[in-house]
Amino acid sequence: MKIAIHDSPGSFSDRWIAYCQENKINFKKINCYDTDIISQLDDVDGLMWNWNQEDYKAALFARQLTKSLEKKGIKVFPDTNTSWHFDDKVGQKYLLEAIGAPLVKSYVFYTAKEALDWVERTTFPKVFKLRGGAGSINVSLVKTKKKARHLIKKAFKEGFLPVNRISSLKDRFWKLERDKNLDAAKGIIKGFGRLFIPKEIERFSPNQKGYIYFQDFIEGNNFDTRLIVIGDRCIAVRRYCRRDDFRASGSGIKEYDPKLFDKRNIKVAFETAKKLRSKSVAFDFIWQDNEPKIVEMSYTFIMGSFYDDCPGFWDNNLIWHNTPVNPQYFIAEDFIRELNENIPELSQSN
Amino acid sequence: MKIAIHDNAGSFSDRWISYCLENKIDFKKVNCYDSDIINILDDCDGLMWNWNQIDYKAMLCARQLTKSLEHKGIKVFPDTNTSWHFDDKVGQKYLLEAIAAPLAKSYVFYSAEEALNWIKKTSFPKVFKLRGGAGSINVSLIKTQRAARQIIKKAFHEGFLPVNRAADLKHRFWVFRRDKSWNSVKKIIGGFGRLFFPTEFERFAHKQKGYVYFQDFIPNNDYDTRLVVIGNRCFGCRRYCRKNDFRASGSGLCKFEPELFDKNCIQSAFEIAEKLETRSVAFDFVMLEKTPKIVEISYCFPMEGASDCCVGYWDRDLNWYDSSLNLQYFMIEDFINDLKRK
Repeated sequence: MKIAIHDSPGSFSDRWIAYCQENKINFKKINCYDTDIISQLDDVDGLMWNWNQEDYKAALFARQLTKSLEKKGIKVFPDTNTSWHFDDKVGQKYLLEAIGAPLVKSYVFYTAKEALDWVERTTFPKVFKLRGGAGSINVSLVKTKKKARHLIKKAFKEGFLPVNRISSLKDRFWKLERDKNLDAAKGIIKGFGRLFIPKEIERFSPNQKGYIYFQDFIEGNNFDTRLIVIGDRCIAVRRYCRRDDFRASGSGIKEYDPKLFDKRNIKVAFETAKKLRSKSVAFDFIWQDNEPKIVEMSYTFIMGSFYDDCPGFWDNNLIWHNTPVNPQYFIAEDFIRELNENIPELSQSN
Repeated sequence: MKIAIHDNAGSFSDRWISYCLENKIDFKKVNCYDSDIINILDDCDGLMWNWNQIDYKAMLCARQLTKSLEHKGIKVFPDTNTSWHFDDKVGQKYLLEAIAAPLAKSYVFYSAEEALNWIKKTSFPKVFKLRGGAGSINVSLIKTQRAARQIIKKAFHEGFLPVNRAADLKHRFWVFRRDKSWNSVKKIIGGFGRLFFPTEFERFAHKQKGYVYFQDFIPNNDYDTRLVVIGNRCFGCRRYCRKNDFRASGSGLCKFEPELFDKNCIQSAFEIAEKLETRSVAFDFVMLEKTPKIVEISYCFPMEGASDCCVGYWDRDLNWYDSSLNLQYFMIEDFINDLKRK
């Protein structure tokens, strides 16, 4: 058995490579952007590639490559079920509704007229989101009909930049207030620069237009619960909102104590992951009328202390295991195990 | 059993609805763009929706809705296998390579540097294409390294409009010369208007950039062979190129006599359709030294015109049946049969 890893330093591939080396898994490093990538993968059984929304090129073809390799019989992480809805809140709305998962009520419109009609009938505040973007970028609270109408006009005219430079700068100020260190100060200088010099992703990402997405605003949540389900493990982080802000994602204020987490919530996470047939999924949950509700989900997440500091995980019988956590190793472990199960003659010789 | 049909006059839904009425199939008309569409489909076993590339709204949500409904156990036409690569030549390149189908050699690059390195090693002419666009729009012949360099610079700088207004107007002139009808005159006037007033599609479509796609140019083809496979039927249409042009798609110069078609090509179309697990697929074939090569594929096609003019079809054993055809009826017939089997 042999796997291919798309080597991109700073991404999950760092740890996947370490895992392969430690466990003597035969692997080769490849570049998925090569035009002859399909034939390069002729001699492998699986491909692991940690692509994300920051890479405009991956957004152009990662799903297509994945689907094609699956047809060829090559296993991919993340597979189609795990990744097709990544960074796509519109896709997630359809999917979570379709499987009957507890999604915070969401709305999508493809014409200004329908959206404007809806504004007349609905209540405010609502949360406005673009379909893509991580860490609460492109998310804002809409308190009035007037503001909603303004957003709708924009969505069906010039559209929205996929990166909000002002809100990104605000975010950097927030980090300085929180951390009060030199790095945060440097971040602000960078943010000012970014007002004038766009990033690669900005240059290549299209304006978001032709649709508009809103979500119900659920009051009384001063934190959200991030639950990551990888196979039969669930790790948890409670993330507190920024001061005077309703957004928890990206705030960086967190707690891990397993006692903070409601077992009902963990159970819903496991059940939903199973219905999604997802190999790795991070859910953002909030509480509405004593029920956990999903705000959004993502197959990938930041690597490093944020999740490594989790003191353990729950298994799918909701039993807590006090043990060091390495989510990227969990992913590689499951991937290799499933490959071995699918290739019995090879697993015998291994 | 009940199905839902996204009702869009002028699309396949016209005929799907007639089929249901004629055959007493229980159906309801739906609007897939409704925010609560998932809920609306609760009482249905299947959904049929003929979306295409000129509907920007469909491009924003059709694949996502399809995948979600499949998770719910609702059958969709076109299903994910049939449609995910639609209007996406980059996706088709990966897929056809992955199943080892005879694709005309294609290249894709995601950085200017890699593309520029490649043009130094390759030969010309090559065919440049955007990943989307029907009827040869957004397709051009690149004869020199210099022209290729220009294309590459544009692809990684300002990008390409998905609609080429000048090419569109040129096409309208070509239709006029072919048909010399009052209708084609009107189209030319419309084309001039379009130089100044963008269509809805154009207003909402994104500029194509961040990638560049080329295909080998295969000379000595003054026609292409379009084969449509729906279930175990295959239909053929030979499309001749425009005068002094290498593009056949969109020319409207068609012949249908069964003896014009190579059995190897038909056999190949059936085999690939099976591998793709597709319910409906149109292949554009050209010949490279007697071997049929695929240029591109599509799950849907214009409803009237060529596809209605076919004089019969081949079955899976390559037997020919003389009969008048209604391709949209075949689609729904297969769809209903699959649902009944379930």
